Amino acid sequence: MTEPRFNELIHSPTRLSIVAMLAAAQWADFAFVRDELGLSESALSKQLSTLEAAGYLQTRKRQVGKYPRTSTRLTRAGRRAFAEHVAALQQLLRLPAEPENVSGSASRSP
Amino acid sequence: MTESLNRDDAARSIEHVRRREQQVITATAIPLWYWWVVGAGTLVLGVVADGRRPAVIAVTAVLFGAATAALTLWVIPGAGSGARVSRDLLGGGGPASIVGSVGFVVLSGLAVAFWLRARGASGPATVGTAVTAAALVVGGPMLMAVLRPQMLCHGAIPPR
Repeated sequence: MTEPRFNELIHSPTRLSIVAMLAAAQWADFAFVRDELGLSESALSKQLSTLEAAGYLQTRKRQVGKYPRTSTRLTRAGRRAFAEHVAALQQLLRLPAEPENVSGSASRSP
Repeated sequence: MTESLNRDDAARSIEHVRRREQQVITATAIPLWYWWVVGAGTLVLGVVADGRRPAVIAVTAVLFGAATAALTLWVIPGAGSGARVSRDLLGGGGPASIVGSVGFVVLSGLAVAFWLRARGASGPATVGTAVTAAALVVGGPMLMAVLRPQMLCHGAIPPR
């Protein structure tokens, strides 16, 4: 059972997109994430660095033919944080219709 | 960063997550060309088999088997797209149903070929593999259409 836990770091729209995309994949190339999300290389690099520093994802560089290729994937901690965040969002939707502060129903992290 | 999160924000975020999952599933789906390539390879195998040159048939069969297996293992997880779909989304039944369906179609074509050969028809292997190729080209995309909603059901947020 996943404990609902709102995650400020993941909740930023761009990072949520990245994490949601990586959660649906075993791994993804940097170029795949960049193109699918329509981000610039620098914007994506910055967000990946933030998530990597939090221990939520790993990046791997390898040589494919003449070209270097960077791929990334969520760590176990990243998958857990994402699942907890989604559970917190879903829990909030199950609450009565008035606007609610999520901290009243789910713990915050990090 | 917001200090509070309301239901609208949560609903938008949930929709956001769902869309990204769909995006990965769509981008990593087995491409149409896969079914045409496997179908064409099968047809070539049939034409070679009707040539009745055992050495050529053996080499072609081995090459076809190895190439199809390698291509299938590469394409099914979506590796050709720049991402590999999560095992959780594929579920246990996804790859098995693809491999099982392809195997069934190939065996059906072989059965047609042997039946035609037993009746003395000309070019039995070519006809049998043409049946297989047609079934792959038509049935492959249909199979994908069935699997896609199943993959979404295995996602972080199953469809409503």
